[in-house]
Amino acid sequence: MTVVLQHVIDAVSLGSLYALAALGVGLIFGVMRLINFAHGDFIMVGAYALIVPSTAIVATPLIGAWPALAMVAAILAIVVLLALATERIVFRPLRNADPATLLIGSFAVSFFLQHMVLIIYGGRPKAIDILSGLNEQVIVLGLRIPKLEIATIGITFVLLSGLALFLKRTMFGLQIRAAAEDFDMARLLGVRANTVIAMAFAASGFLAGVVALLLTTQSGVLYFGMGVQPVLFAFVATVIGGMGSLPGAALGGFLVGTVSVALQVLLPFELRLNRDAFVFLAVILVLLFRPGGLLQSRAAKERV
Amino acid sequence: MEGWADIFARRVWPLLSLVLLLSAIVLLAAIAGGPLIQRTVTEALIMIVLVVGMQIFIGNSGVVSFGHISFMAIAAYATAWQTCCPAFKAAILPGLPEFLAQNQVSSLAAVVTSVLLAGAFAFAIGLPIIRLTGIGASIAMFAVLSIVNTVYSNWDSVTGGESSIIGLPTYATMPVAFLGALVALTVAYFYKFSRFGLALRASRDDEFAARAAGVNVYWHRLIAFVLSGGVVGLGGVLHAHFIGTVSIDAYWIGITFITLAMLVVGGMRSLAGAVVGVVMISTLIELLRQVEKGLDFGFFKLALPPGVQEIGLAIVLLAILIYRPSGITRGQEFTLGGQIFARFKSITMSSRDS
Amino acid sequence: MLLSVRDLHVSYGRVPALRGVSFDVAEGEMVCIVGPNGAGKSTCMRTVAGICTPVSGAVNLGGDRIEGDPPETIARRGVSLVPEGRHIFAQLTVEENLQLGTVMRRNNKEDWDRTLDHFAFLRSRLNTAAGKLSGGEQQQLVIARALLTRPTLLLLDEPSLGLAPQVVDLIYGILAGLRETGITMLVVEQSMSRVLEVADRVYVLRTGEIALSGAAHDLRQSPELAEAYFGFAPEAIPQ
Repeated sequence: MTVVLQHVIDAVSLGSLYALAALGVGLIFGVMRLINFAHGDFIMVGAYALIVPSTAIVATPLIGAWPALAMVAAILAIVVLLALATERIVFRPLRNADPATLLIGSFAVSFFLQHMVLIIYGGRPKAIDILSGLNEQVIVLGLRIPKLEIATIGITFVLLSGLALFLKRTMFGLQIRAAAEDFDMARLLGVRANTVIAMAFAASGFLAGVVALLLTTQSGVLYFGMGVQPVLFAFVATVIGGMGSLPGAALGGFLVGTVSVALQVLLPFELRLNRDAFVFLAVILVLLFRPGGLLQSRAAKERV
Repeated sequence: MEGWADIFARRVWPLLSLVLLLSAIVLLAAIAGGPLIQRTVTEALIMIVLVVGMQIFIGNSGVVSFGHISFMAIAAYATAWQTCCPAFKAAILPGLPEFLAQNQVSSLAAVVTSVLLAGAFAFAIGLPIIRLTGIGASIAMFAVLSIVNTVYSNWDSVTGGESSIIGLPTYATMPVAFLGALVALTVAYFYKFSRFGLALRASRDDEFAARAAGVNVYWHRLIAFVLSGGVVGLGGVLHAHFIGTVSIDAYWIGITFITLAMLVVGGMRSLAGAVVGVVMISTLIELLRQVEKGLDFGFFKLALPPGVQEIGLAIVLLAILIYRPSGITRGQEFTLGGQIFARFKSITMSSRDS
Repeated sequence: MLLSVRDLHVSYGRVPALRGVSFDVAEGEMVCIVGPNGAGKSTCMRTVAGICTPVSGAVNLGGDRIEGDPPETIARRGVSLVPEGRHIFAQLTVEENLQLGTVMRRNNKEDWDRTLDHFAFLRSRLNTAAGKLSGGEQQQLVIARALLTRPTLLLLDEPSLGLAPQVVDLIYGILAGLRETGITMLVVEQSMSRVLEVADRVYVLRTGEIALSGAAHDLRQSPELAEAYFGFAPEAIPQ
């Protein structure tokens, strides 16, 4: 029984991480109909900012060596700035382009970021140790739970609530929701396009930074391709949850996390390395029966 | 009534012009180029097969598939299993089924079966995926690529996992690659101007109108998808027999990006775009490769760090997307126009009318 | 002259929609532009509001050139467009839809109450999702929302589209009432009869060009109007 509960907590924790990543993707999709391939690389850059730029085999912590609060603040700031810069330089000129162009553009940004990091830091995975206290376990009600998992779940809860409150209760949040539903009409009411999109990118960058910190604390490894898997799972989560729906993205994230942990537990040993492949397979099956996702958003459907 | 001049200009020339262009390049390389240049041209010709294959689906349907390289991987491994020598297979790939492990097939047979396998795979995954909206399909295809990558990387006994399968017959010389490119172009061309291609392109531009006109968008997309999978598979086979080895990390994001960049820079909507894109980007990559190696100007040396190629490619792609999203060819095929031909046309027309 | 449009040329890609259109709206006037489907009426509205950028020509608002400005900038100058097809935010509540009318200015309690008095039924539906309202109710919602922006120029694109005749009566009653308050309005309609009863002046637009203009009550019964609208005289129709 305790084993099952432990797996449940693993699932909620992993699901939280994917929910945060999916929200980062979903926010930008909502206002711009852009699927940001580079989101995974925002996460990656956030992680690499922790170490000194050098191709040396052993990584020297840079921001990673700062006191915890300063480190977190700095990483979040860096990723937010990166997101805003990407919006200004690449996505603003592409604002009225068709979805295919936007998609390829974000893929180009992703490729660019990965290879910049490759040039600066080298291609070998590097080890880093931050917030190592969180990797200890606590015993709660007879369960051994890594502190990091509790932190992940807690942080996700706080961020989700904060985001929901922001969207529901503030004027800016209302403008973003309106822009996500009907961008042109929002502009006709005086909603500033640049402001709303910048806010979405900033929020997305913030979420990416959080994911970067949580991921790096857990894995302790940096690799220039480390953003691919999170972003792919994030995409898949938004597709399952229903494109254009923020609650759907979060729900999709939790679902993907749960399926992932379930497969990890249930798959016979030889197949475990292929766990990710099975997650995608499961997703494709869901999409067979509900191509619009589980929480189909009316906004995402085209009207003739 | 369409004069034969019109038919030539609009129907024959689009394909003929590309064939002539490639022939010219190949001849030049054969006569005046050393082995290095010929190798570059061969590689470019194989890229043409891949990019034209992608164009068949992406250009005609408007759906950007990020996972077409999975067809390349499937076909490449398939041909490797068939053409690799049994001794190697017994040692490195113990998990292969008997009929593969013990036999070594002729290259031609391997090509056919590998391409068919890629097409069959495209059909199987196309069935669920084509039902998705454009963006959903794009993401799903990326997931498929990821699945293929994961499975093949871990299935050590059958694929060799992350190590390579080596010792494949390297029959993909320049003439062979040229032939492959011709085949790809011909298939793509006849598809595009068939009623299937036309129906699909109608749906690309206005899906609702096409549906209203009775076009079954799903089946047309699936047809293009399977055809496209086969041609990309052909590219995979040629690639495997050009390098002589097959290894899973060659079929991941790098080549996906390069082929997509070639298609977009040239112009997604036309075959001319695919060819022009490959030629331009191959040249650019070659240039940047030289710069990375270091250019000696006598009194100083210019050498940029490795990785500049990819950065340069990303910047070029972004520039095209921002300033010329329809690509260098603006998505148009090469058709004959202009003063000289118009004059020629009017001469032939008037002699007919009088 | 509040709004002065001169020689406007607008194209969608290579397809010309407006070929040298000029019209004026004086302060306090209600001007309507009528024309058959595809004439370019919506394009006029969208260009004035900033959604479309003209190839050439000028849009003057109170003496300033505004063509090519982004929609949110033009909205902040007091131009409020109620686009064709209503465009409520279906997933937001009625109250939230109305609140979006106050984005550009502080939520003034007097304005809010006054607007809700005018459209009394909205008070009881404040927490309903806007998508659940009927067509006529939605049309009233978007007019209320537009009024909350305290526009100097109110643009209405086919306000009667898709509505039942009694509902159209209601809407035009509201527009007539608004006219009494002195608000400047530019209305675009396919169907002439209703709008001609309330408007001051009318322009007839056909295939991207102004075919006729004049005072509404002069042209109301005139055969010229039908001819300009359809492109041929009614007598030309064989009996």
